[in-house]
Amino acid sequence: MSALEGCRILDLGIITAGAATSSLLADLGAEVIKIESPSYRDPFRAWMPDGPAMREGAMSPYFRATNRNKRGLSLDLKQAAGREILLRLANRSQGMVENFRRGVLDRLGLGYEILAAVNPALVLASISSQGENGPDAHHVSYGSTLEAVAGMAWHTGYEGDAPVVSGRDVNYPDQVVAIFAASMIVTALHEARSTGRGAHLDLSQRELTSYLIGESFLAVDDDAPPRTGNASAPYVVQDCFRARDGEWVAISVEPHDRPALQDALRISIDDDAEAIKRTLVGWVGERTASDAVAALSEAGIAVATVLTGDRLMGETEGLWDMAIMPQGADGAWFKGFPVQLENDPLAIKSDAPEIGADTRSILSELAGYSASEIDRFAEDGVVELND
Amino acid sequence: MLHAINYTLLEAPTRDCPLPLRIAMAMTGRIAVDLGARVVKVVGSDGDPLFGLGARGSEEGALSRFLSARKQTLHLGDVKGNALAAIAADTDAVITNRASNREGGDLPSDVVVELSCFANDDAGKVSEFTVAALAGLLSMVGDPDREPLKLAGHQPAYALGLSAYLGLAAALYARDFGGATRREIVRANLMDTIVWLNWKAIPMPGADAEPQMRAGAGGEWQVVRCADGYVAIVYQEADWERLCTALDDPRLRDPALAVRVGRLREAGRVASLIEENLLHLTRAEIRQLAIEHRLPLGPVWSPSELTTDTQYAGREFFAADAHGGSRVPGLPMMVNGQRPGFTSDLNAETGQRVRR
Repeated sequence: MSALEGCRILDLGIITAGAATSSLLADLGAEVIKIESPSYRDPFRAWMPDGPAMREGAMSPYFRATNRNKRGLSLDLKQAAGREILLRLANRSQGMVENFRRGVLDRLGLGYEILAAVNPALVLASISSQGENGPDAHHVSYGSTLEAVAGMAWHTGYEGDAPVVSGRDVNYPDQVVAIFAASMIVTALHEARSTGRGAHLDLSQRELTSYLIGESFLAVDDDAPPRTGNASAPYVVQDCFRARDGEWVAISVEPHDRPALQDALRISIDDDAEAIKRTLVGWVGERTASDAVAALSEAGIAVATVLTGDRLMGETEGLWDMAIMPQGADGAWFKGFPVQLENDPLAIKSDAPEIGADTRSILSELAGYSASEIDRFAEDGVVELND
Repeated sequence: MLHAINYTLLEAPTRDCPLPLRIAMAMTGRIAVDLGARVVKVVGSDGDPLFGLGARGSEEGALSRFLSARKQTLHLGDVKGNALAAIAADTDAVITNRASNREGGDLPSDVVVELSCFANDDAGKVSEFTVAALAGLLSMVGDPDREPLKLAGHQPAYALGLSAYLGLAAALYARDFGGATRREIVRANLMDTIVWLNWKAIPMPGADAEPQMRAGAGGEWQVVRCADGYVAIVYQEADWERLCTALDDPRLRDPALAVRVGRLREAGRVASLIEENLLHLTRAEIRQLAIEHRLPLGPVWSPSELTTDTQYAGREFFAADAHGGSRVPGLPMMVNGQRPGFTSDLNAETGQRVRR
């Protein structure tokens, strides 16, 4: 049994924000149908990392990570017949996810009012950069754009230096929105099932990014330095220190850690933050990272070696067990889950679909079209079959 | 509006609950409050550890004001014996932390959300910062020749709070419609949440083994100066032509920069050229340029500036804080054109006491 068993979600999401959102719904047990156009694929299909094993024709690992557990439907929404098929499916579904540019769904004639007319209980989740309306609604973005315009970058960076963004390889707002959007969709599905009334969820990634620094808006101080490196309350000192072997060691010292530090580092109990920091620079610099971590950990200080992603699999055993799921003997892995339910566990049951992999069965079993109708749709380019 | 699924959530940290988990469960509760739930937070005899925390260390109480608004407070000193268990039994869900001397399942509620720092071993002392270090997130941000950097605020704890809310929402759905007869235990931890967010840093099988690292001035996306501040230069391959057109600088048309691999090789020169073009433009002008040319450029705004931002004002993203003139963000979602939680009682009763 899965938590969302019985829910059907039409997934028009692409790349990370939309596709990863519906992927989480699929992990929770919803039947998710990924809809791509014969003339416009999810761009993630073409994103391939460099490397010898990334053979031509292989499915992009990024695409696999964000589209597992889904069924595949290739459908041209620019054709009237394609839109009619979508509306028929919407009538038999509980939710729809999209992250097109604002206005695209309306221009296709598939705006919320049209969808609600065929299914008043449908939940439509529109995930966008800035939200459905407002003067910036058409300001496009990738994740790091949002860090800048939402205030997060203002407070990220080295003291006295320029703002910093998480960059292309993290793209933080694009990742975190999937967890939030999926949770809002589940909440709205709950409401819809209770009341019979669906909803249009307007999810602005920029707003979410600001929400995630919400306390900053309650503490605006234009005279304070905007960026303070790694410092953060309640820690007297929090920073990374270079060890003798070149590794970085992350340390957080709370006020009540002073006696322990006094014993371990021979600092004075009255040393201020700068003095403690200077001592740590020298003390860590004389040791290997593992020795420094062992000694400070023994003293009850929060400390860790700064790892790069390639070391996670080998050096953090037991610290995490669901974010990445090993698959098979070739070292392949799937992106896993950020949360788990004991009785209704999230699970990966199938690989991401090839283009149009399930077109025929979806049109036949769910939409009720005959085999000859489906063949005609294919001949007209309304759908792609992968028989 | 999402009123039909109102429920009661008890935030019940143990006395020794690590601060990151306390912050995470407060975020989960904050979302629940915004959606109409009744949220009761349990505070021990030592008081609320969030109360003394500011946004960046100096502004006392900002964290608590943001996360605790409209929650009710249950002081443990006010309850006797097994009263907490009795209170928990009256709730729909409890969010707590894994404790060595107590299983989350010990609290009698339909759904128990149990948070931890790591999946299996919470023995050592941790902070959000040290878990971000272990999860590879710190190594991705900043300059390669300088120390790794954290993102602003409490991103690890807040992200865990979002994960917990997802599990909570799914468990409540399953309780009401899935025919579940057993209590559901939802588990989430800091480390898994950050690894999940940072998944692209883990090398794909068969991909080059070069580890992903913070690129600093060598990065494809950089922050450069403009006339009145900074702007994040963000673009993908498909945006390059529009960027060249918008800036109209023939130097950007250098054939050596025509494809991504060439631009990556000369990332410093590309950033310098773009900065030269933007130095005479204000952030407001760059915003307009970005909209006109469909470019994902990001003027860097301060929280102070955003409180009067036209986009946020138009969407009524902020409301007044209970304590005065400050502005507090609302739930980052609108439902049928309205923002949940934004009613007159928003300015509530931080710290209203519940006596049993």
